[in-house]
Amino acid sequence: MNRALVLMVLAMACDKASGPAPVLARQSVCGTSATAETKKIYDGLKGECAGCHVAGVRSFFVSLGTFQALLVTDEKLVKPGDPDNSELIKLLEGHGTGVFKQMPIAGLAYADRASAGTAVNGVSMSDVRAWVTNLATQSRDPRPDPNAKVLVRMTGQQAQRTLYQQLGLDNSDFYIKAFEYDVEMAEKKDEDRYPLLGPDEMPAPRQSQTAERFYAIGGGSSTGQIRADSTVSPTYVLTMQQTSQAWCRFALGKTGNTALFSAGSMGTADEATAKTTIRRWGLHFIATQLSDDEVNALYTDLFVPLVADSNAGNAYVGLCSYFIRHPLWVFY
Amino acid sequence: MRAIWLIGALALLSCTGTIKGPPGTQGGGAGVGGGGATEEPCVETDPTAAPPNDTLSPLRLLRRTSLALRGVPASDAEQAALLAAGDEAAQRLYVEHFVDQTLASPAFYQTMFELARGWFMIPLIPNDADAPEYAPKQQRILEICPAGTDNAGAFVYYRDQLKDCTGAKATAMVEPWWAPGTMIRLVGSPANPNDGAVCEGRPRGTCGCGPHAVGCWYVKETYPGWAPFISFNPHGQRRLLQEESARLFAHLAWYDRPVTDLVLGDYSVGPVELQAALINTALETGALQLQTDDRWWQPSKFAGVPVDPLHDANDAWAWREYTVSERNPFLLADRSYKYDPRTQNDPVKGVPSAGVLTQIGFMGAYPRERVRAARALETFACEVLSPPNSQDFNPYISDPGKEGPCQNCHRRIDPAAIHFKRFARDGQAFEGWGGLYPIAGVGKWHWPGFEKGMYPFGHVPFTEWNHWYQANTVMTPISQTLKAMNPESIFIDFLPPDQTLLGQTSDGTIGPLGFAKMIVASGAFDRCVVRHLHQQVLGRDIDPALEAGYLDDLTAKFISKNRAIRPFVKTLTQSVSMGRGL
Repeated sequence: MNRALVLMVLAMACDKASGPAPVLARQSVCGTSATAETKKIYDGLKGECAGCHVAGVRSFFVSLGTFQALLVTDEKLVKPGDPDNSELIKLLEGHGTGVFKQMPIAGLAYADRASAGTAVNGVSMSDVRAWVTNLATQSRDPRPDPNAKVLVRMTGQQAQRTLYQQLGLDNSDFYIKAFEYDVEMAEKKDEDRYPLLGPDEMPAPRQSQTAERFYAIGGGSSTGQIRADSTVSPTYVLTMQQTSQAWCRFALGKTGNTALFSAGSMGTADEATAKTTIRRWGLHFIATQLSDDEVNALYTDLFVPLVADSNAGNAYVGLCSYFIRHPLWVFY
Repeated sequence: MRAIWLIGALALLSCTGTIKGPPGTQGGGAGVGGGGATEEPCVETDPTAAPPNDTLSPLRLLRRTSLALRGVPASDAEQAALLAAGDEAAQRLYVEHFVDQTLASPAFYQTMFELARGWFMIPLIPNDADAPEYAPKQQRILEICPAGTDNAGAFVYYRDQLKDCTGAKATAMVEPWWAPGTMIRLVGSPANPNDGAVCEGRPRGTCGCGPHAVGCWYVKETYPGWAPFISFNPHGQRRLLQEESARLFAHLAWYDRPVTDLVLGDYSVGPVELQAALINTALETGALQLQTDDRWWQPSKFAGVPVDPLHDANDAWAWREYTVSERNPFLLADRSYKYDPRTQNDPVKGVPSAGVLTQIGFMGAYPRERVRAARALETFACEVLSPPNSQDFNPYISDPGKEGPCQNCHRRIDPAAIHFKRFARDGQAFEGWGGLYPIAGVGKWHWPGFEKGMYPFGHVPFTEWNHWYQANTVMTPISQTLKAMNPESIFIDFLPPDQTLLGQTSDGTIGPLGFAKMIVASGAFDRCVVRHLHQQVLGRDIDPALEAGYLDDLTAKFISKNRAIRPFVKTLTQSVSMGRGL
C-alpha cells in the first residue's frame, strides 16, 4: 500500500509537470528578451486578445513569455522598424491580409476600440506603432524549455509488452483461440490472471474486461477511438498494482520460465539466492546495477518480512511486483 | 521501505521539472543522449545556475532508447552486451550502434505505424445501415455451389444458389483477382457479360462479374459478407482502409522518403484487397479500362515494388506501394491540376491524389467536407480549434465562415473545407452491400436537377449540398447567378486569390492537394510532424508557445534532412534531452 502511495504522489506531481509551465517571461541570452516597452504593449492588448489567444500555436497571451516568443519574434506578424508591413498592426487596424481581416474578429477593430476608449485596459495604436518602429531585431531561443518534463511514463502498450518480455509471458498464457465470424480472437482463459491486451492487437481480445484493463493503464485504441494517456492516474496505479502481483505470481509458477530464474524454477529463500536474485532483477527490470547497500536494504526491508509473513513464493512475488511498480520501471 | 520513499522522492523531483540549468545543445551532439556534445550555441549567463544532475547511465539510456524506438526495453542479452563493451564511453558507443540497428529493424517500422495510428486516429468507416453494410466494398459476394447440385464447385452470386446452382446456366472460366494462377468457373448471372449501357461494367442485377471477376469477391466464410467489415479481422478491408494512412507514414519512414509525400504524394500502400476498393470505386465512376488492368493483383506485375518489412515481396497481404492515379484515374496524377467552374464549362477531369487526404479510409471515415478539413487541420497542421471565451460577434445569417460565433473556428475551417467538397457517399450500392463514392462533377457523377432537392435527390449528399453550399460564402465563393446557370459550380474546390489559409494563398490546385500544398508551404505541416516525432522519441510534445525557437530549430534540422524520418529521429536520440532522466 505504501508503494502505491508513492506512485500516487508521483502521479500528482507528474500531472502537474505536464501542464502549462509557470507564467513567466523566460529571459535568455539565446533569445531576445521582452523589454519593458514590450510588456507595456502586452498588458495593453491583453484585455482584448486573451479571450481567444490562450491555446495552441497562437497562444500569444498566455504570458509575456509566449507573447515575446510567439508573436514579437515572428516576422510574419511583427516586422521591427516597419509597422506598416506588420500584420499585427494591419489586423489591429482592420485591414489584415490573411484569413482574418481584423482583430478582434467581430465588432470594432482594436484601433477603433482604442480610439473610442472602449478597449479593455487598452493601449493606443500610436503606442503600438511606436513600439514596432523602435523594436530591435528579434530572435528566438532555440533551446527546449528547461522546465519541461524530463521523465516519460511508459504507455499502456509499452507496459503490457514490457511485462510480457520481462516476465517470460505471452498471449498463450492468458488466452485460447476463439473465432468470431471465422476470425481468430483472444479468448481469455481465466479472469483471475488479469488478462490485459490492447483492442487493436491481433488477435484482438474477445472480452471487454481485457481491453478495459488496457485502457485503465492508459492504453489507446484507434478502433475504439480512445487516445493513449500517459499520466499516472489513480486508475493506472491501482491496475498496475493488481496486474503486477497477479502476473508475477503466474510467471514465477510457470513451468520452465527462464525469464525470472535462469534455472526455470523459482529459487529458494536463502539469503545468497535472494540477494543474487535482487541484484539480477535490478538489472532485468529497471536497468540498474544495484549497490550492495541497496541489495541489502531490499533484502532486509522487503524480502525477509515477506518470507516471515508467508513464504518464499510470496516474497518473490512481492519482490517482482516491487520492481514493476518502481519509478525506474514506470518512467524512462 | 526507506529506499522506496527515497527513490519516489527522487522521481518526484525529476518529473516536476525542478531540475535547473541549461539543457545545452539540442540535436547537434555526437552520440546518443548528447554524449560528447561540444556545440554550445547558447550559454546561460547565470553563474549560480547548477548544472542538471540527471544524466542517464548508459544502461538507463539504452532502456530509454529501446522503449522510444521499439516499444520495449532492451533485453537482458543486450544489457549484458552493453556492460561487456567496456568503459562508459564504449558503453555509450554501444547505445549509438543500438540506435542504428533499431532504426534499420522492422520493429522501428512497427513503432512508426503505431505512432501514426494513434496520432491520426482515423476511425473505422461506419456501416451504412445494419452491419455489415459498409460502402467501400463495392463488389458482389460469390458463393460456391454445394456438392450434389448440378453446378457443384462453381461460383454463383450470394443468395442466388437456388437459382443458379441447378440446371444449365451461362458459364465462364476466369482467373480470379483474389487467386492468381488458378481458374474458377462462374455460372449463372456472374458469368453474364457486364458491358453495355445497362451494366456499365458493374455486376448489378443479372450483369456478370466482368474480366477476372473484378466486380466480385469471394472468401470462404460462415457468414457471407462479414469478412471485409469486422474490425478485428487483420485482412478485413475496412480495417485495412483505416490503417492505410498510418502504414503510409511507416512506409515513408522505412524508405527514407520525404514525409510531405504523406499529403502531397500520388502513391500509397496497400494489400491487394485494399486496392480492390480503389479499382471498384473507379469502375463505378466509369474507368472501365481497369477491368483488364491486372497490375494490382497479378504478382508478376508488381514484383520488386517496395513493401513493408513484415511481409514478403510477393505476399498479397503486403503493404505494397502503388500509384493512386493508376488505381483510380479520377484521382489525378497531375500535381497542379486547376479547374475553375466560374470560367470553365468543360467537365472537371478529377481531383489530384493527395496521399492520406484522398484515401478512402480518410474520406469515408469523415463524411463531410468541414469535418475532413477540421480533422486535417488538427492532425496535419497541429491546429487547435477551440471556441472563443467571450466576444460579441456579428449576427449569423448563412455563412459560418464569416458570421456569428462559429467564425472563430470556421474562418480557418472553411478555407480548408473548400478543398474537400467533391467527395461524397451516396446511400446504398446496387446490392445493399455498401454505398457509392461519387466525386461530384467527375466521370459519370452528374445529377441533372439535384439543386431542386426534389425526388430522387431528397437525401444525403444532395440535401447537404443544397443546404450548405450557398453562393457568396467562404466555402462556396460563386455568385447566385452562376449557381443558377451552372449548379455544379457549387463544387468549386480551390481557394480563390482573395482568401488565405495559414497565411498562404493557393496556386489554384483543386481538391485536397491544394490544401496540402498550403499547409506544407506555411510550415505548419513540418512543425506538426516534428512535434509528433519529438513526442515519440523524447516522450513529450514541444510546447509551441514556450518553445517556439526550439521548434523552429528542430524543424529546420528536419527539413535539412530532406524530411526523412530516420535521420531526424537519430538526431533526436543524440540530443541532450534524450540523455536526461531518472
